[in-house]
Amino acid sequence: MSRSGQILVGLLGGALLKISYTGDYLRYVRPGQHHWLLATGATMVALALIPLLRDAVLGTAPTSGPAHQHHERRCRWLLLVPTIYLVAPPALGADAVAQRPTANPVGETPRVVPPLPTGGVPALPLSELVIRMLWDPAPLIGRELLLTGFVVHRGEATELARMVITCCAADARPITVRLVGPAAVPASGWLRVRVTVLPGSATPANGYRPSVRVLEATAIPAPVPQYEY
Amino acid sequence: MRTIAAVCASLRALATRAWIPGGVLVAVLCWRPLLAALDTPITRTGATVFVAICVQALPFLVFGVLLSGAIAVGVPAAMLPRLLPARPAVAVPLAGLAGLALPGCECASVPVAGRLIAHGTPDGAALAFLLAAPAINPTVLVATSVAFPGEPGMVLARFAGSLATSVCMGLLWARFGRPEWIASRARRPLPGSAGRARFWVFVEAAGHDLASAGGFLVLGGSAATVLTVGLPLGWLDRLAGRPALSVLVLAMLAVLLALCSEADAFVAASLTNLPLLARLVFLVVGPAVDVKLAAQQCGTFGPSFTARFAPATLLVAVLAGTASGLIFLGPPR
Repeated sequence: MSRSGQILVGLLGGALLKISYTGDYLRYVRPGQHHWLLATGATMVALALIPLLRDAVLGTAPTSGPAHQHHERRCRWLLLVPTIYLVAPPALGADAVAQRPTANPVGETPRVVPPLPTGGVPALPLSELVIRMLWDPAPLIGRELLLTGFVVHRGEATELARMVITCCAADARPITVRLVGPAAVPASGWLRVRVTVLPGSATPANGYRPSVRVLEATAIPAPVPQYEY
Repeated sequence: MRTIAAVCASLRALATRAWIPGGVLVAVLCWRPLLAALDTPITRTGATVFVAICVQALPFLVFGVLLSGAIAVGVPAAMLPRLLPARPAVAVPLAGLAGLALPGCECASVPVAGRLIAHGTPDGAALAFLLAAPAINPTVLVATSVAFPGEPGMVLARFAGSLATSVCMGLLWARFGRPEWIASRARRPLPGSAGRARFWVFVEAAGHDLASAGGFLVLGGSAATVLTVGLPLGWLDRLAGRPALSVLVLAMLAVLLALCSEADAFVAASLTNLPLLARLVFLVVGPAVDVKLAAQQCGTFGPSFTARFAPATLLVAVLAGTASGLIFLGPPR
């Protein structure tokens, strides 16, 4: 490996270690990737440092023939290194919702959902609310629920949205729920809302997007992680 | 005259060598004003998607180069060709089935297949492995069955379609492919490996693969980002009830979006309005050919390989996916 190749591999490995340590990796991938990212970052740093140290100690030059010098010169690593180090782009939010299909992703076959907790005001992930509204709406009717998400505007409608990711943020799909009165809702940002569902509001025609009546809306800081899985 | 030529030559050498550090310097100095100018919803989303694609793929790539390095030092170069039967009609399907054993996605399989070719494995067999490994390994099949709980035929159809694609492409390459289409650097044994300790050969091989394959991963990741963010996907719902058109559109979409083979089943499952057959073709095409993969293949095997292999794979994958869907899922619905 050429010296610049070693340095780039080491820098990128360091960047992976950094985002694993600070928790920023949750903006891009699932929590389960944490150990893999740590191992990957450590391996990359080792692959870069070991030959560098050897060359420094033994005073040898990096081993590389002219042929693969030429090949390596085309490496485009650097696109990534400054992106992670300097920009650290945020988790996908309201901007990304507008660019994705509007329909909520729901399975074709009935999902078995555990019974709703009996007392109190249960907090439901948006994806779970949509599944329940579709396959088992009866226990939800008349119940107060707590939902967490960020505000998006679609035409006249105000919606609460959350991104669902499977592998990484590139496959993120938005889940949206339509918010209707009576409580006032802030124009943007993250909210925790206390709601009751409007029975029968999620239909194939509206892309299985249920409507909920907002009883109370509280602005909250963005949760960690911001995605549902 | 001679001095001018010498100055030109050294300037050219400087330009080719200095563009990487120079680019970094410019980026570091200008990044704030640059960011302010680029701070639009699309670029914000794009930056996140780009970093996500790379961060998600790197563990697989590192796993692939470590495996490739282990093959480089652990397996004598003459052994692999002798392990496989001489007849392509037997060797290629065997190599395809060997893909069952490599957990991971497409980023891991390119360096491993590259090492197999450098070690003298017949091209057809190595390419069958390259196509099969990301598509039929257990992780991907389990993810598919989780994404399609009501369609057990989907797992079988995906397995059959992807295996058929890889075996067909392997046999086609064994029959019609020319050795010179694969860049000569892919066949070269490790530089400077003669007479050195195995550990250093391993470190050098893995590091070298990582630096070059990683560059092309980043390149392919940027292409996939532009397409993921730029394609308006809202109109997909209008394809409902048009099976033939949906098959073609989803095949193209699989190429352009370059989703990881462990995640694509969930995206396919979410396209509920489209025919099941089209979504199967999406799953068969995706791991075999997409922009990210093509960039990596181009880096390992060279452009004249990719220009022939990628379009042929797309055609074969669409046909194999459709056939497998008609067999295992029944008529389009």
